[in-house]
This record gives sequence, C-alpha cells and structure tokens, in this order.
Amino acid sequence: MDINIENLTKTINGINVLDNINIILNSGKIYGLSGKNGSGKTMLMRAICGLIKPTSGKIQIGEGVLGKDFSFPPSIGVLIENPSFVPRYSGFKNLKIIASIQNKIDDNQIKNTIKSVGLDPIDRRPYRKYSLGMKQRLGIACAIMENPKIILLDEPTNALDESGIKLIKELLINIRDDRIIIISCHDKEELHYLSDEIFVISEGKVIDHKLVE
Amino acid sequence: MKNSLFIRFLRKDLFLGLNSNKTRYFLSLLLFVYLSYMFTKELSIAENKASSITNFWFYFFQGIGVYNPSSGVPFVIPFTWIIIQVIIALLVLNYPSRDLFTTGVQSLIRIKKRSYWWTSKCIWNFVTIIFVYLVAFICAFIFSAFLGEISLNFSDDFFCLQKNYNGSIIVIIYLMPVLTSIAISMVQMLISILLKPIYSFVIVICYLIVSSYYCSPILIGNYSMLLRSSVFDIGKINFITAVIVDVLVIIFSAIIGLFYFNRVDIIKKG
Repeated sequence: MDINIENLTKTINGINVLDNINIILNSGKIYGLSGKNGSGKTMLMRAICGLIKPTSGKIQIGEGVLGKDFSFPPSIGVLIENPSFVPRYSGFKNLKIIASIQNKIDDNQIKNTIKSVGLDPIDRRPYRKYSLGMKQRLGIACAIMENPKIILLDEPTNALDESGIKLIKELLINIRDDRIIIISCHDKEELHYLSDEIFVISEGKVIDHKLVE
Repeated sequence: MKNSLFIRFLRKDLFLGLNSNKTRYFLSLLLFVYLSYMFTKELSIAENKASSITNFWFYFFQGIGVYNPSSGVPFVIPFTWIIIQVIIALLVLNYPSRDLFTTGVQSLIRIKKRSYWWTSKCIWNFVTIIFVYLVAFICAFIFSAFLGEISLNFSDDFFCLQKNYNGSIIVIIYLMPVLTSIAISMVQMLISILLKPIYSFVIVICYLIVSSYYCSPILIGNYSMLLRSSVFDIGKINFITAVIVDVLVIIFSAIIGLFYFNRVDIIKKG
C-alpha cells in the first residue's frame, strides 16, 4: 500500500498551512518529517489521518481517495501532538477501552504492546500519575497496538531519554516491513537516527527530500 | 459488522461519559433529597400526611407561574428550578468536546465515520438527561414511600391549582421537563462543539433565566416549568405546541451538528 499526496493545499484563515505538497510514501519505510515548530508537520499528519480536510489536492491511500472513498484511512494508528488518555484509568485500561471499539485484539496483545514500549502492563497507577516519558510511550503503544498499515507519530521522542529513543527505533524497525511509518521531529539528529527518508517542511511546503544513509 | 462497531463505540461513550459525571450525579442526588425533605416539611406544616410520587416530582419541576412585569411585583428568580437546570447543564457540559480532543481522535480513526461520533454523542446526551430525571424519580419514590403513598396520582389541592384539562395530566407532568431538558441540552452540546463548552454553558443559563422572566413559546425553558403549562389556569404554555417545538429543536440540533461535524477540521481550539 502506498500513500500518494498530490497538490495538497490547506488554507486556514487565509494562510496556507500546507502549500502544494506532492509526496509518495511506500510501505516498508520510516519517513521523517523535519521542520521548525509551526512549519506544517503536524498539519500534514492531520491531513493524512483525515482529521482536517484539504482545501485542494488529494491524498490517495492504496486504491481509495481520502475524503471521497473513506473519511479516515482504512488501517491507521496515530500519536498526534501530546498523548491524551482518561486521567483516572491505568495505561492498560485506557488502551483496552480504545481497543474495544474495533475489538481486533485481546488483553494479551494489549499487554504485549505495552511491554514492547518499555512500560509495565500490570502497573495500576492512573494515567495522570505517569511521567511525561511514560505518557509518550503509552501514546506510541496506542498507535501501534492493532498493527495498523499506516503509523503516524508526531514528536514520538518528546520526553524520552536516550534508551527510550533507542527502544522506539528498534520497535519501529521491527514493525516497519509492510507498513508506512511517518514520524515528525524537530530534532534533526533524532530524526536521522529514526528515519529512512526525510522530508523537510517549511511554511507548509516540502523544500527538501533526503535519503538517510 | 458496521452496526456492531457503532454499538461498541456507543458503549464506550456511555461508559466514559456517565463515569465522568459521577460527582455531578451525586450532586443532583443531594439536591433532590434536599428538595424532597423541604417538600415533606411543607406537607407537615400544611398537615398533609402523605403525598404521591407525582406531587414530589411536581414540586421539583414546578418553576414559577407566568411573571407579569407590569404588575409592579418584583421578579424573583426561581432558584430551585435554575439550580436543577444548572446541574443538567453541567452534566452535558464538556464530555463531547473533551472526548474529541483526548481519546476521541483515537476513537474516530477506529470507527471511521464522523457521523457515528456525533450520533453516539446525541444518544449519550439523551441517556445522561434521562439518568438525572431517574435520580429525581427515585428520590420522589423513596420519600413518598416513607409518607405511605406510592402512587402516580396528582393531587392539585396542595399546590392550590385549577386544572383546565380533562385528559391525563400525568403525561404532561412527567414528559415536559424531560423532553425540554433533552432539547436544551442538545442545543448546548451543539454550541459546545461550535464554540467552547464554557460558552455553551453561559449561553444556556442566560437563556433559561430569560425564559423564567418572559413567558413565550420561543423561550423553551418555559416548557419545563410545570406551573406555566396551560393545563393549569395560571399557565400559558400549550402542551402540544411545547412537544412539537421540543422535538423540532432536538431534530434540528442533531442534523445541524451532524452537518457541521462532517465538515469541520478537528483541531483543538485555542
């Protein structure tokens, strides 16, 4: 499955937050979005996951066009901006509630995903007592737990220490085979470490595309 | 398959939505217990030993009669009625918008349809309102049981009212507050999605206060004040008109919300 973004423009209050974006994303790769705060990285992610509607252009996912053939991509997991969960429930309970909507995975699979991001699945502490790093890890677990074909992670390394970043790198490499993984990060070094290809975004435009060696 | 996806999503909404309101339901319970106690006291002063469930219910939701500004009598805000409406407005205050910007994004990408999200919130809204009236009914039931008269009969002697209606008044007494609250809370939920929950709350409370001052079919808050029903000689609000307007408000709010939510960009408002 590929994502083909053609002439994508999004205008909000007269400003082009995304400006004529043309990129093709293929399965099996980790794509990085680089750019300053407010450059349009998160907006592009929101557009790919169907939360915002393009002013013009289209996003083709596989055989279908987003917003025409489906409102949201058929198989997607996201972590957009800060992870947000119900503060009074544990990490496991939060993920269980979300997973219960599609009912695709069982408790053991949820627990394994929580373990894979370095958290304890039987930790009964409520989410509000989690550290920033733990919240971030839980957000990543939520995005990947149902094995979606597209994974969008907005600033996944926020609040993670070096070992956390290494763990996420290994995790993404392990799961990328038949998936498209898109991550955004304002730290160039971390993004180089995590990605196979990088798109540099500035003022809503893709101004550079590099392969990471 | 799709239906079961919606049912599972609705179940999640009801679970999270009702759970997030536990404290507010407890507040409503305290309020109705207090009102029941006050009514029991008034009954004992009037040397009435028993009172039915419907009489308790009427006491909760009677509001005030039609106010005539030219009468020279100062206007007194119906505090009991307003406090009940404030609690109801608090119950539907922020779950939908909070959900949208917390687990709602995770839900949306899983249910795949914006219409499911909005429809589920409308059903949650109905259930939330029905629950608070259930709390009121249970309080009325328990207190009337204590007084030894578990019945749905309405005796207008205590309230010194004259009925202008031959049919069953019970339907009006039970239906109007519930239906009107659903209509108002649907509008409130719509405004909270269009603007912000706090604005919706302020707008609704101001609207209800204005409703208590002016008696007009446009101000639907009037419909939930039982004393303003035309079934009593002091009231002006026609039952059939009220039901039709309430139902239309519910339907239009649901449709406008659906139309808006299907097109809106989901970005957190600053």
